[in-house]
Amino acid sequence: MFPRFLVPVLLVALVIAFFLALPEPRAPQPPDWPAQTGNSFVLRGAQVFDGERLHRNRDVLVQDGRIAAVGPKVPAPAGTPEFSAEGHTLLPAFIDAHTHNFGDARSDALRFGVATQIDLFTAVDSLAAARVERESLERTDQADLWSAGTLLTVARGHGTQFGLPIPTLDDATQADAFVAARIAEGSDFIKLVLEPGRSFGSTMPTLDAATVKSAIEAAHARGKLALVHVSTAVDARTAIEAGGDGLAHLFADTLADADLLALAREREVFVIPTLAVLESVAGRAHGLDDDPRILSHLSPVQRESLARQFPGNGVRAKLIERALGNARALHEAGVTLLAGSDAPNPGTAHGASLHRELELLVEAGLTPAQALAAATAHPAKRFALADRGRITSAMRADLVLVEGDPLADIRATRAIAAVWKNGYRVARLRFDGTAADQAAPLTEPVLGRFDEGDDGWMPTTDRIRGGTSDVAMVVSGGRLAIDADVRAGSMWPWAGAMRMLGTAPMEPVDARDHATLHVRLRASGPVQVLFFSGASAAGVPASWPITDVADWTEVSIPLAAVEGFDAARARALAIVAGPQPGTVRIEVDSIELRGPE
Amino acid sequence: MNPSILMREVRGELLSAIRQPAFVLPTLAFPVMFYLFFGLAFTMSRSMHMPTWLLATYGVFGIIAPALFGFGIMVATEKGEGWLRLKRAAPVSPLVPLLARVAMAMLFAFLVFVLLASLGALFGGVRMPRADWILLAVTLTAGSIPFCAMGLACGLWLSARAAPAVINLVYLPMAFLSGLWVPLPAFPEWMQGMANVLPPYHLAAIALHVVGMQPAENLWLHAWVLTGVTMVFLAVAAVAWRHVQEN
Repeated sequence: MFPRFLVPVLLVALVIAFFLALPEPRAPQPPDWPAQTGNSFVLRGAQVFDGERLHRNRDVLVQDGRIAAVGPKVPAPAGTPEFSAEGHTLLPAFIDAHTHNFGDARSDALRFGVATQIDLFTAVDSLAAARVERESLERTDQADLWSAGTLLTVARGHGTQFGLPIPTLDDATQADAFVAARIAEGSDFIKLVLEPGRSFGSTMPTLDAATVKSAIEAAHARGKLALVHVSTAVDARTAIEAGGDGLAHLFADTLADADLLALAREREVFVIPTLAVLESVAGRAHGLDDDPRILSHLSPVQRESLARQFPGNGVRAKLIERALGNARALHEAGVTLLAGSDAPNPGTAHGASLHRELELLVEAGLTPAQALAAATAHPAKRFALADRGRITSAMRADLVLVEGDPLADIRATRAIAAVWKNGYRVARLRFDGTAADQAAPLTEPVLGRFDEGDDGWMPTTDRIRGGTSDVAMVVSGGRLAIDADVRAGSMWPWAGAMRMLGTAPMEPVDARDHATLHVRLRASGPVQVLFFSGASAAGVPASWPITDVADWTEVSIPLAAVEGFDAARARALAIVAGPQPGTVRIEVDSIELRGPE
Repeated sequence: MNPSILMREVRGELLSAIRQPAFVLPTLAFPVMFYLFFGLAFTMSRSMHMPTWLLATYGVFGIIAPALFGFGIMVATEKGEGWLRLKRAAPVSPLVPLLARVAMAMLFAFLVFVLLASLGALFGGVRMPRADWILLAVTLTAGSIPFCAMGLACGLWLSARAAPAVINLVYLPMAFLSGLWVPLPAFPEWMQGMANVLPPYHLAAIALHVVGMQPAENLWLHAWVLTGVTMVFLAVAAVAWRHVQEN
């Protein structure tokens, strides 16, 4: 017989069980997260790919821009913002191992979760600032940059065709001094070009084997890596035998033979297959512009870049098959592959194309986890990036959170829910006309009367980009007087005065309600008005030249005519002398924006 | 008063309820059906908070019926059948069977909560902190007390024949005008004002605050109104009781 006293006990237990079963609200998921202002937070319940392995249901505590703890239940100091991320995967922010840094590259990359770019040839004057920035834990909207600076090639060889005047070298005897000069001007590693042009269906001069060997030895003697651009299996062998540390592209003229695979394995070289750009060379569609997750965040420049094609790409359709075959063979032979996009070449775009590269690496036979490691832990290790590419204590909090499980479907990396750089959440600009893309309207159109102080104007020179120009700025008698001393020494010298348009430095505002900029000024030489605008604070400003204003003149600049000025995201204005060297005295009586008459 | 006698009385009520499914099942099924139709089926379009809002108001609707009918109609019927006379003659306080019936009404109220909460959680996406679930159960269960008082007063005043008709006539319009079926903000303004004098409106206001749908305005005022309503109906019932005794 059932004991009677158990009946009430059972009933009470049933009621308690019922209340325990009633569902509680889930913590807000990424789209509904509250704003995050600082660089400390704790993320709970995500699955974490630490750069090599997957861990389910982990908490990650970030303090002051660095990862402080990772574990199943991590206590957080009081007041730390908490974010719940069940059903999401946290990854180290990606490292793109082959890019070229131009224009908005670094902010375009970061928007797509690439927080570190390995640049394999750019204008060296951008490097000084980048070297400082990559050590900082400040808030930034840009990916960090490591760069080869100027590549090593011969006169009229590959690398000289881009319109950027660069020094070249002719023979092995110059190699040591040439490499020393590159390192002195800021190269973090050395890139050599072995490109006879055959795979492009032409011929061009290139470095000889002896020069390659001497240059690699010169780099190693200074503790620097040497990467070699190759496009053929023969040149790959030459590069590896000469001691090269990595190949900047995968050769795709032929399938790799066993000897070459064994050599690559034995010398422990790494290979950056750059399948994304080889696919474009082969004329195969990347499909990125069909993916709404990518499309919504592509800037006009990125869209244009993705839509461009290599001339005559239709005849090289087999190239991507061979490249995928070689990637598979190298991977199976145990050679480390690193993910690199070669953006912004035709058919690629900064940031976006790394997601395609990951997909292509999986197509080549890597598991999703191996592909992700090729974009995180492995490049960090090979390029000795000490605090990046992994999610463990003390690492820099460069993180990407994606919806779903990229280890099951690599394309899930595109479903980005959040990006953090130095622990700060990155505002991912949208370019599909939705609200997130709207800046606040410009409210104060009078930018300077100079009757009571400087009205927010401040001196600016090319010193922030490694130049040597000087400026002195004073306000007196209702005028702003600027004495600019422009000196040659950087790629684009300037000196003058600058004013922010938003409340925070370089914060974008919407100036589309204004039609003209009116400036009353005089100047002893030619000056320019610079318009900083667009998706990135670091973008190249639009400029408007003003000449022949020795006497007081009222200049009216129609904003619509300023090429490259994005009035929807206006950030700052500057009045400067340059780029011609010399001293110029500029006096400004008033400057203001006016609406349509 | 002897608690074991009260327990026995409660068991007796429980048994009689189980043996009269014709009362139990409709009483529970009515609010469940309403909540399914209007709270869940109509809001499949995911106006996110409707199922939560209506869980509170249909909960109030659901707990009124067992209190009003259990007391009102049964007391009137028993009065007609002479049961009350028998109980009065029994050597226990006449309060015992009344308290047992209050306990039954509260048990029914809790069952209504269990059913509606299950439906809301399973099909309406209702999610609340555990404390709020418990508080809603307490609000609805305790909230049946004023309606027990109301039912008692009605049952003692009304004849067995009149009771069902009159109580239904009070119950349904009162539920509607208190915003239990359609949220009050959807009413025209003059109708909204009428809710202030209806007890279910005040219980619903508390329940809506518990589920996080309304701010904590006038929370104590609502509680005091309900207490006052209970007192008034108890006083009316006491007068009626004396009246019954004198006859």
